[in-house]
Parts: sequence; structure tokens; C-alpha cells
Amino acid sequence: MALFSRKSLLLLAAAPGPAVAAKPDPKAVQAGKTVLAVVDQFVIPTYRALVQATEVQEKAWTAFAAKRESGDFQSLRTAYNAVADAWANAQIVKTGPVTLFLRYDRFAYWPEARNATQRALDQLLSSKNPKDLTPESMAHDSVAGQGLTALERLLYDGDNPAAALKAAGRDGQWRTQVGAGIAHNLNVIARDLLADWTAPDGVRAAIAANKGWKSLFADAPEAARLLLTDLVAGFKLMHDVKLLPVLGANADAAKPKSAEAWRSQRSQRNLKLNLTSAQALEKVFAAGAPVAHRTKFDQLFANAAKAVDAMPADLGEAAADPKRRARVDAGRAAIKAVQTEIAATLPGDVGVTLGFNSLDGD
Amino acid sequence: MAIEARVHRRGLFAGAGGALLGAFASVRSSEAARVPAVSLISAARIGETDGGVILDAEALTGFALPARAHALSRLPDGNILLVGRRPGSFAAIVDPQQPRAHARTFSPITGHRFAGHAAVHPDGRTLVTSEIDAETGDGVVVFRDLRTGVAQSTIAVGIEPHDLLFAGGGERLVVAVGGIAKAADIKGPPINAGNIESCVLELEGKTGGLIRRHQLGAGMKSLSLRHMALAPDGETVAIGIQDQDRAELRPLMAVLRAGEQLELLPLPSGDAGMLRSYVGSVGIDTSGQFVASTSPKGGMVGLWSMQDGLWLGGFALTDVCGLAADAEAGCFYVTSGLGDVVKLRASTSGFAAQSRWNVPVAFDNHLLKI
Repeated sequence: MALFSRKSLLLLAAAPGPAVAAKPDPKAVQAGKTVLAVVDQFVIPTYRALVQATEVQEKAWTAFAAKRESGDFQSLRTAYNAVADAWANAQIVKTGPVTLFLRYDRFAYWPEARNATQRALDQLLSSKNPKDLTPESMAHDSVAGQGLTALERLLYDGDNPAAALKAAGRDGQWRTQVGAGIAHNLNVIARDLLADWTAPDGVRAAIAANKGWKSLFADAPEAARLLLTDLVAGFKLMHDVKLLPVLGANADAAKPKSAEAWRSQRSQRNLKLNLTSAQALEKVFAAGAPVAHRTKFDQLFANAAKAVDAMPADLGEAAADPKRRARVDAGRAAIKAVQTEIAATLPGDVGVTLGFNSLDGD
Repeated sequence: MAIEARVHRRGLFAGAGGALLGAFASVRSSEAARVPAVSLISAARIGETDGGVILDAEALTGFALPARAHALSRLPDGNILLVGRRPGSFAAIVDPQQPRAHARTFSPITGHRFAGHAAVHPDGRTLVTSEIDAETGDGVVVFRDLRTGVAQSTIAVGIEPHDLLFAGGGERLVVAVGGIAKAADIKGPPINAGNIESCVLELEGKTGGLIRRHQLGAGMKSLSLRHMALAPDGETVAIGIQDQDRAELRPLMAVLRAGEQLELLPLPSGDAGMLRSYVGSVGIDTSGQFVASTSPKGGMVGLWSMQDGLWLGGFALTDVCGLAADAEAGCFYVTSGLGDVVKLRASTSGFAAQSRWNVPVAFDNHLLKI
């Protein structure tokens, strides 16, 4: 740990006097230009892929529901995994339209508190009221029972999830309707997200014109700061939320079922995709950064990718296994190394100052 | 949960924290005029270390804590209580004269986590803390013996109590119940973000018995009432709000006058969204004329009239969050995560910055004037 010398604690006092509003930093102007590239090269393509995956998934459920008892259950799992891949790529972005109408949490409620997903899903499964499956209704219902996390339970929980969906009679039929309803809801959310970014009066247009959008940001430099904050927070998501609680202090204290998407065995894959998309986002932000900085980022990302590739696919179980735990921890450390470098260097390269209090609230 | 025996800090915070303490000598400034003529204390991040700082006319003194702290309370003996940030596992009592010398700490009640706030009864004998069940997220207010820290009674107050304070000379304990449902230990999203049951409770100051419950109206179910400040009249309370849904702009400040209902203050005029749906700290000046709140997400300090609730103006400061009323009428200190300390003077035409400093620490959520 770097220790502070006495000298470094000296007050950097400015002379007391009236504060003058800061003039626009030329770097902030550059940051505004960079963020448009981020939107065009990362955000919009990522949401476009999410729309496509959710469309395919909705069609798969519709086809399955049409001939349920002989339906292709595997097609549902394939479609779910494609959406989960697309979401893992989009998961870093927490700025913009995804903050409206609780879309972020409604798309994939995680980490779960108090078994909320199961309780919300159970309620939906017992209601048997088609009105509960409309996106309009879901927009006001528990965020836990309407997204990817709930769909994962329908596809992977229990002894024979395929049989539960194919079961003759009202129960199987309704269970399938619930799955199809969630699949439709996910597609509606994804389409709304993309539309809000790309519409003539959408986020992209606002950033291009250096204007604000729906009070989420005032101008392009603020949008740059928010999206760069998302990138740094994305590493916190990977490290502090996806790995630390799973690892615990030691193998005995590990919590395998705190791993994301452990039912569908996607924990390590999601992490890898988060890392890949974080690098894609970093590359756009760092396009104008000094070569030495970019080279360092590339090296650290490469190290992290290698370490995450070496993590067992069942990383939750591996964290509790003394023999395999070190591989999970090595990935954690490599991710942390990227985070530290990005947080220290990239904001200055982009011309943005990241806050401390604005990173998270309480 | 008795207060643990006094532990020498080097023993308590062994390892990295202990090593850091060696580097945290008080730094004497040769020019007293260059630093504020008051004593301010805040939780802070210093480098990569969680702790706190005291800034006064003579020095900037850093001290380490077991983890990130949140709010601060002045104890009758002059010591300062810092409560661990949600989900907090410690509360530390720091002597502002010797912040690095000794610490006493105490823990939440079994199975619970601190919500980051405490309040001291004016009788000087009772301390209350807001605590959350780590498994279920249900909240309690814990009445403790101020001298020993021992928990004496608990009152269930619903999901996620946050800030609390005594009003009416200790007759009433006012509790802001945030209502955001998630298990205390999980860094996940709220389950009920669109259907938050947030409220302000007025409880009997001695027993915790319910006097009144104040809730927001229809269309306000995404709002969480979280932080509060008491007016100099000892009765009126200002409340800061956070909105979990950015789809539309909703009020972010409320005032509760004795015997009345919650009164919502208007959003800023001009750019109504400048507070970015988020208020982190609330303060009322010593004249009782002005109420201010900070928005780190908006980089803005907002100012309203306490008398008629009108919006008076804002002051831009990146990552601002800490806020404390100065002894001088109309004046506030604000701090930021970028090390800024600004003394603001309020008037009916808004804020004017009187003085401004910068120190190499990240000030955390709350600020207390000692």
C-alpha cells in the first residue's frame, strides 16, 4: 500500500476568496467528442445485439408454446444463453435509458436478495392471470420476477424443467405462457432501450448536439463522465459483486450460490464477457490516449482474460474447493489490476474527473 | 454488545491500517488563515484507506477506521461517534483531540448491520442506532446506553431505517425509513424499487412508541426518504430524498413541521433536474431561514427558504456531498470527494462562496462541525 508522507498531507490550500465558476475545460470538450464515438461504436451496437437476441428468444418461446408437448426445449436454452451473452456485454452500461422505469433491474435482477426471484416467480406461476404477463403490468410488478433471472429458473431449476413446461394441462400451459411473457417483456425492454438511444430526440442526438437528455445529463462531457464511471463501476461489479462474496475469506466461507447465473453454469462465462466488453469500451475511450497507456491497458486486459479463461466454469463451486480456489482468486486479482490502472489513468486521458461520492450512493 | 475495552489503535487496526497510522501525523499549517477557522470532521478515503479526517485551523489530521464510515454524531463528552456505512459492522468513538490515539468500537446487535447513522438523546444518557437484519433487510431502531453502548431495547420500524434524530428536546425520535428492500449484506438492486414503502416515523423519544407515521402520496413510490436535519427551533425537520426511477422528475426535499404533514419542496427552477434525482446530505442554517442539500450526482448544492419553501438557487461543486451548518447565520460548509471544502453564504438570492480550500483526501457522505 502506498503510504502518504507528511508532505503529501499538506494542505493544497487556495487563498480564501470567492470561488469562481470553472471555465469549460478544453479536455471536457474533447471528452464530449470521445463519448459520441463510445455511443456509436459500443453502446448502440451492444443494445442492437440485445434487441436481436431477445427477438430470437421471443420467437423460440412462441414456437415452443404452439406445440408445447413436443416442443424443442433446447431451443429455449439456446435462445436464453444468447440473450444472457448479449446482456453480459451490455451489463456495464448503467447510464441513460436503462435507468428509466427500472429497466436495468427488470432485465436481470441480480444479486438476489431474500430469494426475491423465486417468490416473485411463484406468485406469477400461481396467478394464472394473463394480464399479469403484459409488459405494462410487469413494468409495475416486482423487478425480480420478470427478467433473465426468472427465466433461468424456468429453464434450469428443478429435476426436469423441460417436463414442467411440457406437462399436459393448465399448469404446463401456464408455465410456458409465463416464460413466453418474460421473453416478450425482455424484448420490449431491449427495443425501448435502443429506441431511446437512437430516436431523433434520443440520447445519441442529444450527445451529438452537446445537449442534455431527460435530466440524466446536461451535456456531452457529463455523458462522458457517466459512461466512464460505468466502465470503472463495471470492474467493481466483476470484482466486488461477482467475485468477492463468492470467494469469502477462505474456502469454508465461500458462497457458491452467490455466483451469478450458477444454475445455467454461466458464472465464468458472464465474467469473461463483462471483461471483453469492458475492453471494447476502454478501447474507444482510450483511442486518443498515449500509446504507453494503451499498451499497459492491453497488457493488463490480456493478463485478466488469460486468468479468467483459466477459471473453472463452475467458479462458485471452485471457490469452495481448496484445490481449485486459487484459480478463481487469480482471476480476481487480475481483474483488480485492470481496474486500478483504468481508474488511475483513463479519466485523465479522456479529460474527465471521476467522483467519489457520485460513484455510489447511500 | 458492550463497548469493547479501549484498544490501542495500533492493536485494533493491525497490518495495513496500523502502518498507515504512522504516516498520519497531524500536519500543522504555518498559516492558520489558509485553513478554515472551524473544526470539521468527516469520514474520508485517504489514498486507498478508509478512515476519517479532522480539518481545523491548525491541521489536517487523518485517522484510520476498520472500514468505510458514513455519518457522525457529537457525544456529550466531546467525542465523535462514526457509524459504519451500510452494511456497517462497526461504530467507532473518536476523540477529536487525539483522533489517532485510541478508539472504542461497538458492533450492531446480533445478525444486524448498521445503516450508517446514530442519534444522541438530549438527556445525554441514550444513544440510538438504525440497524438492518442482514438476512431479511427488516429494520430496527436500537436504544443503547450511551456510556456503555449496551443495547437496551429494539423497536421494529420496517424496511431499511436510515437517518434518525431527536426533536422536541428529546420528546420525539424522528426516523427516516428508506424503504429500499434488499438484504443488508447484498450489494444488489432493491426488489421494490417502484413500490418503496418509505416513511418518516415520529416515535416517543424515551420508549420508541409510535406517535405518527408520514408517507408520501400516490406517484411517489420510487422515492426513498433518507437524510434529515433539525432546525434551530428543535422541532422542524428537513428531509432529503432519493429517487430510484429516473423516468420523471419528482420532489427531492421535504419539510416536517411539528404536528403537520410532510410538505414537499419544489425542484430547482430553471433546470429542474440539476440534482439528478439524488440528495446525499441535508442541512439547516443556524438562523433557521435556509435549508440546503447536496447532490454528488448533480455536483450541486441546492438552497431553499425554510419559511416559504421557495427554491433560492444552487452552487455547482463536482462530487459535493458533505454538508454542515456553520455557527454563523446563513453559512454552510460543504465538502467533496475531490477534497474541496467550501464555505457558502446563503441569501434569498442564492449562494455565494466565501472561502474555498482543497486537501488531498476524498470526503465521504457526511460532514460534522465539531
